[in-house]
Amino acid sequence: MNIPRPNIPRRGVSSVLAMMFLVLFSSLAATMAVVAQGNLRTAHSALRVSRSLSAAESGLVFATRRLATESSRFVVEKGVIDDGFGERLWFGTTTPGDGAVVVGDPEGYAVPSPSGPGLLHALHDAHMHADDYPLLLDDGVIVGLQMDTASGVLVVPPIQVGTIDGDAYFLLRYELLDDGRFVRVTSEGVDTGIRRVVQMDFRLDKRIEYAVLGPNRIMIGKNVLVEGPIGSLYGVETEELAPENGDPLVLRSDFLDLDPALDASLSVLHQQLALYDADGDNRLRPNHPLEADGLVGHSELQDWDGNEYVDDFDLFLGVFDANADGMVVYDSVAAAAAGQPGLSDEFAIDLQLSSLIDRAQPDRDGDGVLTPGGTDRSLGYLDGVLDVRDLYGKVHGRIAFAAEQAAWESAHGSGWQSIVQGPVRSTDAQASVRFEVTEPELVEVTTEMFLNATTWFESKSLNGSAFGDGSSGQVGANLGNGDGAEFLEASTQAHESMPYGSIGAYDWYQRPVFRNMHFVDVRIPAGTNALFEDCTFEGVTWIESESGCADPNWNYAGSIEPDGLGGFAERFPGMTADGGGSTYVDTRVASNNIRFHDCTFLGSLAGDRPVEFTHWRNKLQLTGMTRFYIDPDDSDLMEQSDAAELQSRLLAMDPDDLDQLARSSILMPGWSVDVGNFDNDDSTRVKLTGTIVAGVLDIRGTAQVDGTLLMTYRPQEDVGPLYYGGSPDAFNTTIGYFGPVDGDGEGQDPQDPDFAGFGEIVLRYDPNAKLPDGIPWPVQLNPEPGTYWEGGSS
Amino acid sequence: MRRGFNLIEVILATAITALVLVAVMVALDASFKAYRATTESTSSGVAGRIVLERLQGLIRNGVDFAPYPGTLSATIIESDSLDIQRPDGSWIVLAWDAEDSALTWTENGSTYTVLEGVTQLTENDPLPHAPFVLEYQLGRHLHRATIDLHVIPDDEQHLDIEGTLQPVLRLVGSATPRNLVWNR
Repeated sequence: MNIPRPNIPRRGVSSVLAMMFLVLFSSLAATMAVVAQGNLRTAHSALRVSRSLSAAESGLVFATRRLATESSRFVVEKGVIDDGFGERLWFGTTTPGDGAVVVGDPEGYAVPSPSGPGLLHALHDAHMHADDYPLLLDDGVIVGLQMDTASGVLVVPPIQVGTIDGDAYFLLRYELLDDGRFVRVTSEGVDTGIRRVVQMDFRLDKRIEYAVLGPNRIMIGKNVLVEGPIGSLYGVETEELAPENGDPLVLRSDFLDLDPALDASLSVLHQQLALYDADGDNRLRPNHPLEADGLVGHSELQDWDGNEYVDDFDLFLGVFDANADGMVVYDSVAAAAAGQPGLSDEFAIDLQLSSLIDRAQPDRDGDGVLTPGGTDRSLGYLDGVLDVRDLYGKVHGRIAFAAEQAAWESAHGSGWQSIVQGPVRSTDAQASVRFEVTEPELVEVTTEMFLNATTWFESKSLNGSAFGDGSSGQVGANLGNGDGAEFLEASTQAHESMPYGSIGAYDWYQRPVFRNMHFVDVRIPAGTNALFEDCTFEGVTWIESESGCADPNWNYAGSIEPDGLGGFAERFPGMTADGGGSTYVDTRVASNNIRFHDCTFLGSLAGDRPVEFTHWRNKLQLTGMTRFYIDPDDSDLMEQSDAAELQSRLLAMDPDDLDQLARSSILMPGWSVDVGNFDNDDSTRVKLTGTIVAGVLDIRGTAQVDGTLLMTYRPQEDVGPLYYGGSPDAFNTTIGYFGPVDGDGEGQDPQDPDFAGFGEIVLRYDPNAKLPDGIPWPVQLNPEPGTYWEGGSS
Repeated sequence: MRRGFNLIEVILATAITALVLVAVMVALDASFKAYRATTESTSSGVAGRIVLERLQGLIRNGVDFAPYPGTLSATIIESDSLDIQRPDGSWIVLAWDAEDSALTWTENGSTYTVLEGVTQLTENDPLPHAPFVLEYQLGRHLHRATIDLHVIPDDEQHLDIEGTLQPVLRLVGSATPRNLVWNR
């Protein structure tokens, strides 16, 4: 049935309202979508900016590595790389006046046809042949490897950071700056069109980055701190690691011989370190998953200073920090002056040790200025207390061994950390200890390398007046000026054991005595074999000796020994030695074994370069109050009673000469040198600066070395002084105190009533020290952090 | 026959319409508030990101910084300002102006506003947070600077109808001076 609907007109606004709302909501939704899209785009852009910046920084790291690798191939003799030399190295236009420049072969890649002899060319060839990365377009443009040999600019094609298409990449540009010592690297990171640029300058430099480096055993005793890296080249030749030949490096804990309980806990720590120290820094971390196991069950091994490590210093605090306040007070007066009043002294057994630790790393705030009463003292410098702020470390730097760890430990029968004691604090970026380190990081130093290193010093010494005798030359002038100079003939003197004061002397010398004299740029003739007492040496003191001393008899010919009847007899009757075209019954007349006692050096000691190490014949012994000064403003110099005179003499010297002399206090390659004021008097600290070179060097007593100790003699059985027997372990570089318990016959027993103390020695590597010319050493291109710059697109 | 609505129907219709309109208005209000919050948050977020990126760049390139901890043995300091020395030797002072709720930039004696709405307040904490956390190594070496900004979004263009919903936008970024990184 069809029921008709009434025709009722629909008069409402629902459709209008609905449409209106539809429009409103849809427009709102569209707006929100646009806003959300914009937000996403912004986030994406931020991500790309971040990626491109990271790519640019990756490029800088890549370039840093490349510069380091390629620059290390360039071995130069010139000591300082100045503007001109740097430019010539870059372009490969060095001249004979620059000294030898030897470019080694590239490592890890071959260059069929080198593009040129310069650093610029080496970088070009490395980028061309060392890498294997896909060809990339930079925004659709092909960028090739471009080297402009006129302007010295190298542009490198894009290098992708990842392996997926579309990953960010970087472009590198190297350019030599107007100051030829600097190379600027610009790295542009690109991520989908977003570009960021970082830039940094690198400085061409020549540095021997070690506080101590040598091919013989290095023994660093108690009360010696090393502020810089140590390099040991010993232990790579046949039989060098045999037990009878000793260890590549010995470090003796500074806290031994202070307290029996402390000795015992140190022994436990060193045992545990050998078993549990994961990173070789001679410290155990209580919060480390592996190292912490080494502390379990040993209540004496506590982190007393709260630095999250347990090391020798913690055990020292554990014994001597009487009130458990985390510090050991050794000078309450100084502590009060530094802002910590009311403290009581807790440690007085070895004030040289406490002073050594409190004085370590003097520029505590790293601002380049020592402010003993300012921020440096606030950070613990010389504040009368020993605590965590002193950042105690036996070595502040890395240790590089040429030897293989397993071979050494196998030969020794225990872990290397039983021999190398004391915390080794390297930087965050460097491993504390590394083994099997090779060139260019660890370069063998030989006497032959110093062929031209002494040229300036020898030339300078030739400018001075002759050494002379009683009536002529500098000796004659000293005797004639009425200032109390004195000369005593050798024949009037008693025989002196050599080494001086040794009960096991291997030779005896009857020395002429030169007393209270002043020498300037002097050459001491071969055969002088004198004792200089209370003398001052200004400028270069050149020790003459016959260089051609390769004859194995050279060390021994003419040696004498007590005959038991009050006289002396030949030790090797009938022995002769050939050298320099002559045959000698007594080689002393052609060499020099000299002792300087209580002498002051306002300059450098240098000498002829013997081709063989002959420690009986070519030896220098510096005993008593030996003083070396080269800086007129040296604070230690100012404390001397004759400071005014010394300063005035230094100020009167040519600044260029001072610059050269500061490069090396002792430049005696192939010589045996003993330095030490065995009285351990703090006021007579021996201060050596620059690159100190010797065949074998001993330093005892109180000394400070600002620079690098370089040893040249590698003892080999059946060669040189070991020709007739003996073992290499007799020839070692000994720094600081070793006692009878260590097998050192010359060391005093701490229990001896006359014990004069352990001494106090700091070896401080100086990165700004200038090297003398003539040492063949790789150059470096080091980043100059202060020049870091980043910006938008290039 | 007269057709029309009686009074009850009119009242009912009016009431229903009013209810629907109120509901719509509430929905609209919420939408506008959300719109405003989103746009302001986005706007401030974009501006904040740019500012943060710029500040991090300044820190990365900086060669010296202040303030230092009161005692040198302390290593962390929270501060309302951060002084940055650029490689050319000039100093910039970034400071939080609590009164004007702004982050300011002072250089050569002139002060500019870098970011507005920086209240450093959160809903749960009545006390303002320091915008700069500076971690030093012993001495004066800035190891890391963290910038932590609490910003009330504000894009300067809004309608009254949008309401007052203002969620705090938090911008955080850290940077280490490259001077320090490359010195290692």
